[in-house]
Amino acid sequence: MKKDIYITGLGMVSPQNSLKAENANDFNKLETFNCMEPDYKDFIPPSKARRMSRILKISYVSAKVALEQAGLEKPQMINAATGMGCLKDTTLFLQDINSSDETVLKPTPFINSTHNTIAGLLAITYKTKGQNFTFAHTEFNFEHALLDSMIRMQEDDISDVLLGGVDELTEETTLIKENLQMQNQGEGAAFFVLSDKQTNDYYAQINALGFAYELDDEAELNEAVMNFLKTEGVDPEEIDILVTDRDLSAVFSPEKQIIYTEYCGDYLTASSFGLGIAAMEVKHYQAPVLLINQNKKNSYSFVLLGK
Amino acid sequence: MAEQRIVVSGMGVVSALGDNVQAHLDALQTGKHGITITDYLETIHKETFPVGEIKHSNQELIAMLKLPDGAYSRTELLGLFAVRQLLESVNYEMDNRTGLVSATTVGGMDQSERFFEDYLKGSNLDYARRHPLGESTEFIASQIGIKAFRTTLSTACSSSANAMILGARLIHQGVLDKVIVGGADALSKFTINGFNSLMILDKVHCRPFDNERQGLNLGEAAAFLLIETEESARKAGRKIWSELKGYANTNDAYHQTASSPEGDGAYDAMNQALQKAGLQMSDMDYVNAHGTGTANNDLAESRALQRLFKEDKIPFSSTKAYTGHTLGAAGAIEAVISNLCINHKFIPASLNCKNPMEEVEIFPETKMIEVEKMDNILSNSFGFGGNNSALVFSSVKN
Repeated sequence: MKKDIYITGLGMVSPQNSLKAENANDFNKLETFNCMEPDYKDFIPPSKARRMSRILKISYVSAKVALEQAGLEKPQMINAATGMGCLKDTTLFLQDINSSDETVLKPTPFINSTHNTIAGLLAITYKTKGQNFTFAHTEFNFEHALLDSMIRMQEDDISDVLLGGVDELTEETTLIKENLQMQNQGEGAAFFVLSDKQTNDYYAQINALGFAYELDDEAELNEAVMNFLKTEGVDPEEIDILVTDRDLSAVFSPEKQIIYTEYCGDYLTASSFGLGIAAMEVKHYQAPVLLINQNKKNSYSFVLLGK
Repeated sequence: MAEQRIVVSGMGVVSALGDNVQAHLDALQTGKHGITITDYLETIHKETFPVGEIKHSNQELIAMLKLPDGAYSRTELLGLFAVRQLLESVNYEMDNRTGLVSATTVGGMDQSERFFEDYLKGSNLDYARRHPLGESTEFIASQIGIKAFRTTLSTACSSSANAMILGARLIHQGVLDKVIVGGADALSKFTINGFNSLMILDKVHCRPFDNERQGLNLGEAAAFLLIETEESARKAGRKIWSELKGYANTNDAYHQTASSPEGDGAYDAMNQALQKAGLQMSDMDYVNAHGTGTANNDLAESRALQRLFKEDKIPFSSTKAYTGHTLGAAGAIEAVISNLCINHKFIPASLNCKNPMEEVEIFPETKMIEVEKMDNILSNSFGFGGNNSALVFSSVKN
């Protein structure tokens, strides 16, 4: 018997005022995409905050908000995704090695540079002794963390998961990305509580997740989208809202298309922000939403959400 | 419906012990370790901290792999080396139901630590593109023609054990039929200085589980295994090395870098992996321990082992003194070693262990032993962030 999987909590620190947003109308199109950071005092005890880097803080706040909304004190497992990991601490430690000629080194930046520092911190915070994975792939790493969460909920006795995607911009990496001529650099943290039980004010049900790899053209993409919906028994006409990382109106044109990267910028876990918007839209309009994300090799991920 | 058995049906490995599976078997059976002074890494700690280094320069690796000149990270060169070896050893024909789950902790750091200032000034940017961990996986995937699911896990020193767990799950769920699972990590100034800043590097050859142990020796390696259902392996006529019978990942939820004093996360991981396998600790013929040689890990792990051993004497050892601690590759290289132990019926020695630890009553095997029966092995991999993984491999009749 297949379990239903619901998004029961959602917290995002992003370039938008997303901790207060209810749907895509609350977001503005931007030119630059640095996070609107909350007043951390409202969320993190100062003694803890002092030892936390910025990426840890935005993750911590997002996770806390998601858990509070879901009314969950202790998730059974944690899956995190981060394309680039804890860049600030990585940079600090690298610069420390170079400037001190490998002599005077404080261990804290090294400890905090590890990709799984984020999920590790959350495990300590919520005493979650179950699985603790960190996906660090290219564009689809958040979808992979979602897939694994869904598998664990179906395969094992897992009824709730804390799932998140996060990447940060730093002064140095912004410069490097500019040198690499990467446009619209963004950042953000988005955490979700997935549960096999509805709550009174849950956001959405996650009906399906799929991938299509290395497609040749728009016709193939259209076919892949149609196949994905067909497998889920959904008539394409039923989909009123498409949330996507870039304009797909030439391929698939429901009533409303939301290009989420216009709100959060491009980064390797931007699709977690996309899922956040998609979940808000489902809740607000009580309508099914299709989320599509593309990577640079013309591969695609599809997430189907409904009420 | 009973779950299909997931089996290991191919292996590829490169480490300080050598360039292939046979070299690893020979080294483990003759007690020949790979810990030396570094020949390739530029660091002021060259003479201070011995390492497990693969004795090929990047240029040699590029030539051996017949790659065009270009900007490569050492991690991805080592990864491709092991994956190609695996595929060639089983004459693998790539198909669109084969995926790749790779693990790494440093990715392109070996180049970024050389060129970081250049990146800021806008030069050597081809190396900057290679920096993200996922790029090494994408590179391997594109070189071997994988067009299906591939992903990258990074959970510190348990990374590639977790890659095996995820791979098995993807097969059970029908996402993929066959998965190449494993990990790669190159030596880097970043990690040597990192572990030195934590004061957990031994200045001499490491001594896991010895009372006088002073820390770990870093190593570099890549190890990949082919996993698939037993039915799929038999149909293809591939040699079955073992069944991946149990696995678990848990978290200590205690401290970012230290294990809890009683090794609770380690205990949970081993316990749950055994449960998943439907076996008891007393069924284990050997435990390949994480055993890094640090004061903290070896004590916590020993306490967790002792709790699980109860009155039984289960043989265990750490092979870190052979290979060094290869971080993101450690779980996979120890999976390869466990599979060698099952198929050649031996227990590798815990090198350099002389003095029993004061706090516990268990003591590892310090000599290589050939055994009559080697049916079940538990392999541990633990990492920063309180991350603990355990795998159970069981023998399969070919």
